[in-house]
Amino acid sequence: MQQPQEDCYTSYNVPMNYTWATLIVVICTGVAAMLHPFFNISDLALVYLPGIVLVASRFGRGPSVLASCLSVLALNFFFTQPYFTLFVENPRVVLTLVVILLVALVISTLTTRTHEQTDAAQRAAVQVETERLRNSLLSSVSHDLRTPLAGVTGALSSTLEGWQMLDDSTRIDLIQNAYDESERLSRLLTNVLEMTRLEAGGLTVRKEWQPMEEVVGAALTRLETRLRDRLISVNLPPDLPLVPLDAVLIEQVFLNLLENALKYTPPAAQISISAVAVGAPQPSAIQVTVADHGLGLRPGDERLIFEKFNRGTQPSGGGTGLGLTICQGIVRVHGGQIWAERRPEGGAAFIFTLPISGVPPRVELEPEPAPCGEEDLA
Amino acid sequence: MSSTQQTILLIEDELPIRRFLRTSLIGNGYHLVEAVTGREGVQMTASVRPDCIILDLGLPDMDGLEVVRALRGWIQTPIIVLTARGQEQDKIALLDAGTDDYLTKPFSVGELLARIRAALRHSSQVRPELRDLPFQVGQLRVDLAMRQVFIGDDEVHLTPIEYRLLSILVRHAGKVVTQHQLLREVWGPEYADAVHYVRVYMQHLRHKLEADPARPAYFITEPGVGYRLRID
Repeated sequence: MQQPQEDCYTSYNVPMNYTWATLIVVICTGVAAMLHPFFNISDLALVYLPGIVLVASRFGRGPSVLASCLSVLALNFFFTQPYFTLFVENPRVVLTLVVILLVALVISTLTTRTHEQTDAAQRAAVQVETERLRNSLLSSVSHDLRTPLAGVTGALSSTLEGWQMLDDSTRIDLIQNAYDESERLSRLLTNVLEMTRLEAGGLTVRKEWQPMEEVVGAALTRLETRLRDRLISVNLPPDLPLVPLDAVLIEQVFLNLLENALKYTPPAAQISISAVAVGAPQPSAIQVTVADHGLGLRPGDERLIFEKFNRGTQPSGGGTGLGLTICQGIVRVHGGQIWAERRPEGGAAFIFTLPISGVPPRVELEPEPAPCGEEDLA
Repeated sequence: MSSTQQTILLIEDELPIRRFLRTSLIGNGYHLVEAVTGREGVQMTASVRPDCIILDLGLPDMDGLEVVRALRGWIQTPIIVLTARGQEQDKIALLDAGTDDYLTKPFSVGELLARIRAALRHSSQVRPELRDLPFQVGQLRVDLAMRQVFIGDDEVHLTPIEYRLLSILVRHAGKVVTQHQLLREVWGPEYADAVHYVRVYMQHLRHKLEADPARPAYFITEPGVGYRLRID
């Protein structure tokens, strides 16, 4: 590796680590003080060893060496005669202390090393996985992007070359085809870019307190033309709390779920969106369901479809198989969960939760004007 | 509409985009002048005095924000920027710097023409006789002079805040208005961190004025940026 082996502890606050090491030794000393009347010096030393292992595994080599030395000094100061001095009368006790110090140092070295090795192994595993994903992304993406592109090129070249021979309606057909395919290309690209951002960890989440209705509305507006002939039911209780979320990202979740519903269900099938608050009396999360009345998922597909490039066992709907993986990534960075269910009455349901953490902002509402029958507007 | 042709300055370095916009804009009766770099665009603004400027953000010589600042120093001509998806913070920065509106690539000609109409209408709305005409879209009618709001024939009663919010959107009809602009103009600078107020009151407006608040026909959300009152 070209990068210097980065010690996993260096990212921590270093002075804090030494403070923790000291604090743990103080706690061990407290425990040892309670046991002191009943045990001798070498037994008391055992009290410090778990503390040193803890420091070594959590805070690294430096703090664990400090903890080892402090432990021996504490043993010497508090628990060897004469008490409350660093002077030791008995040579055997001196030997005990030196052995304890050695043991402590060996333990701390071993523990930190094991920890670093595990870490390095994990990093290597992640790297292998990233490499594998990158390769499959490239092959899948180049195939999936070429397909609509071929549609665009084909339709346009036929129009250009055959202009004289074609009648108006055929020309319009071909151009419409090119347009539809280019829109599909654009959607695919959006997903690929989004996935890349999620994977690179470059996704910045800007959470703000939002009403769910607005996010749902934005997604439905964006898909307006494609949803025009669809029956859509939206069921959001009026007292649904505000949720801290990134509107741009959660809109993307809705877009992907709705596009899936469009892709995999017959044109007459209804799509329903609903949300409920979970937890009482103070709602702790909101649970959103996007359900369709199509053929539903095949058994076993519920999990599979969230995997990258996996379209389940359904015949391909012409996507990259990234949509749900992106949804999962976005929901997870919000601290929520997403899963799929087969509805008993047929069709598939995609459900995700978004936690409501923190204190919801206060909104001081003004009094309504004198009622004048605006209720019968809708 | 006045009979004189309106001039649009297109600042765009990509030939395919210029070509496609040339056909559509000239076909729709606009007079078009083109600039390929930001610098050229600023110079041409001074010489041709366009009625509207369409500015691409990916210019080779100048950052889009720089161009907007260079222009906003001395002209009020509406500026529409062409941007890419997923750059909401940049969009807000551009709008704050005085851009009138934006379009996210890829866009259709229809969307672009609607943005241009809204921008031109807004710049001509400075004339007071136009400002007093009631605003109408679909079933919604807003009479700013009389302070009245109707859905069909029925008058709708709004709270003072709801009305103020609506009137700002009407004054900028067709154009995007950022959340912070609404917050500043309706609630004042001391509410600068209370964006949720805008959202909650937009929801109230939708419930009073939209047939289906979850599928708004008039009050369109631009996620991460702001709101737009539809004009057609």
